[in-house]
Amino acid sequence: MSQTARPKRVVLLGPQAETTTVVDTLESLEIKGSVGLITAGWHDAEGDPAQIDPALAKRVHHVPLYGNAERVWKDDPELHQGHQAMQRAVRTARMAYNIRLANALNAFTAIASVEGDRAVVDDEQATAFEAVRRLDELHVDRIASLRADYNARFMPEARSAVQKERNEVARIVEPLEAVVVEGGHVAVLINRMRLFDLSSMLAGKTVIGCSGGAMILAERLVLFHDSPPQGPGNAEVAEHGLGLVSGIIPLPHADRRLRLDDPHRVGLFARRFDPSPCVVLDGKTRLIHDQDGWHTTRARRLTTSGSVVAWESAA
Amino acid sequence: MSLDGRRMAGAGALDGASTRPAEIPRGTAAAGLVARGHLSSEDVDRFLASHAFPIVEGRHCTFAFRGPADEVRLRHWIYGLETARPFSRVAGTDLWLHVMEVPPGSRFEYKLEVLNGRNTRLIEDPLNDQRAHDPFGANSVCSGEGYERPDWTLPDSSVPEGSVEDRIFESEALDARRSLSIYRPASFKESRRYPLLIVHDGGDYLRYAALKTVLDNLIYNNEIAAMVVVFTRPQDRMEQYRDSIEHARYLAEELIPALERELPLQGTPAGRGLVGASLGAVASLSTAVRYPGVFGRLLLQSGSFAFSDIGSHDRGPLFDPIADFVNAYRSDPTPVSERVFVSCGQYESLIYENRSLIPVLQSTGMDVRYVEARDGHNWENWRDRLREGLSWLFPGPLWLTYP
Repeated sequence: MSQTARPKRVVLLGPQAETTTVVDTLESLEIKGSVGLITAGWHDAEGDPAQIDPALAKRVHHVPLYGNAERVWKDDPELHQGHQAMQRAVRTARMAYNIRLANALNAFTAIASVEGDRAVVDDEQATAFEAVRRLDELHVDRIASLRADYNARFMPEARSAVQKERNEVARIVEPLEAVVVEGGHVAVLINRMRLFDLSSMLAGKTVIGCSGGAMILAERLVLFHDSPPQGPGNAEVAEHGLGLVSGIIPLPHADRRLRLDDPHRVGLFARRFDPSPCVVLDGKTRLIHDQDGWHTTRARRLTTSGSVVAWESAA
Repeated sequence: MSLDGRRMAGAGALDGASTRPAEIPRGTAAAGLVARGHLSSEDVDRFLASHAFPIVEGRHCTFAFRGPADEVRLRHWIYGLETARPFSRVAGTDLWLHVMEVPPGSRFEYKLEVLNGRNTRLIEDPLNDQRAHDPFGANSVCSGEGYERPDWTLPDSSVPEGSVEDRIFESEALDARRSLSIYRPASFKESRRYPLLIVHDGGDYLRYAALKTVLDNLIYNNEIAAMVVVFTRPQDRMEQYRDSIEHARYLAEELIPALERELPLQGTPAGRGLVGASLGAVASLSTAVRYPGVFGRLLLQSGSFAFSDIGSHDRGPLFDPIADFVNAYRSDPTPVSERVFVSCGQYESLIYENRSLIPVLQSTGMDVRYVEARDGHNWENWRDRLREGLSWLFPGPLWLTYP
């Protein structure tokens, strides 16, 4: 996306299931015009009125991406197969990355207990940590490369089935003053937004990302869960996000998904993505980024020392 | 369900458990009481009122009983310990105490045996409200230090409930009608394709292992895939679950095709699973062996995998068909599924049989995961292992979903 095609402002909100803050946010930003709602992360429940806050439902226009993508797949089986093949490759790369990541993190932890000259051990551990960060970078590059290969081979933007649906989406989005991107399955969501090149359509508008919708707007899509039923719970970098905001890692559901009372894990998380602030998005958090920078309400961030502090105080 | 795993003899399985009765370790609340010497009835009243029983103090659990008795014993199902652990009466009172060491994280079920003259009563612990239920009634529960019932086994009003529909199924293979229940997840849509899980002793899993609540919670939390679950109910499990060709045919040739015709199911081996505990685990494995490649996911809990290819099994003639099946499989193990999750309690007599099965399963190249818990042959043990087992067999989109 070019620098001239930036949204007017980007707002990051937490999960909306228990505390609905979108309508209040629209009012506080004095958005009087039309508002769109993207719910592609809900799969085939896209647009399900039962899941939309009634106050929000009154004033939003549904922006169908999941359903439109399904029509593209149906109309262009070759592209669908290519997309599925690319997704399989992404999954394979992710599995390999996770194996390497687990070993790299284990090495970092194990080196801490090596006996000997403390300064040497510290240097070795720092090197091990840099290897983790480097691995994250390599994986992001790897996924970007797989996507680039797919785009070069299938050129989805030039295919009639995509153009037809993209035009339909553009027709809906063009008159909107703001677009709300709900969370859900972040891979499904970001894939659909990429397919129809939503980033370019959002130029000059207010974009409000909620939960997973906030995650995909950032530069990096970071997945996390400290206590999953399987595996060690290592946070992983999935891929580039849409990059509508930079220099931040949004963490919705952090109170539930992360052990925020564990200084070791909190500090490790923050160090992996330093200097980008890892910001907790709970139900009442509101982060606004515009031409003047960040404006935050009830924002907390993880620190490299392992604490969770108000973002303002740590900035 | 039978007590096929609840045997009470053999070598020690509860590491660190005291085998000497009636010793009251220093520093415990019970030791403090006894050290005071002469105790009035009011002293005993105050002691009982001021503690929750059993009193858990680190590794020590103190059980109490008050009332007239000649003897009081703790009857438990911890394989390897003497089955009846005697209480000691506190001098000059009608208070009986027993202290035993229990490793952290342990959980076991028990009753009190109260002997009075010629009268012997087996009762639930009147001082302990914790109960575990099974088809034979209820037992008292002792939870050692650190054990907590997992929150995902408890109903959550914020979690949408799936539906359970009761059905009758006509089986030619069994020449009988079978009742079963079909669980559909809360988010069920005809346009999707779901994995299918078939559960042996389904009524017991629903009632005693809270399986519907577990499914609702784990699916809602994206920890397991949304799935259709069929709870089957046997008419005579001692017959049908002992490597029965008719039972296997019922599941593989009748029930599965009928369900896949009617419901939006994936219809692939990876999308079909069998679950069973105790004899139900035998039925699950033997069905998979009779129909290799049909069921790609197996969850086997505390299986009654008796064998006699070396020596003899000592579980009685009812287990002979099982031993024949296990002997044959041990002799010629073949890959019958893709992923097999096996769990067993360290305090049950079947631990040896289950541990012995693991290398046999692994030798076939199947992906096998085995876990043990400090628990016995009971439904709450099986309940507590469901998250780990189901999330491995049917992982949900947890990592990618942020609603």
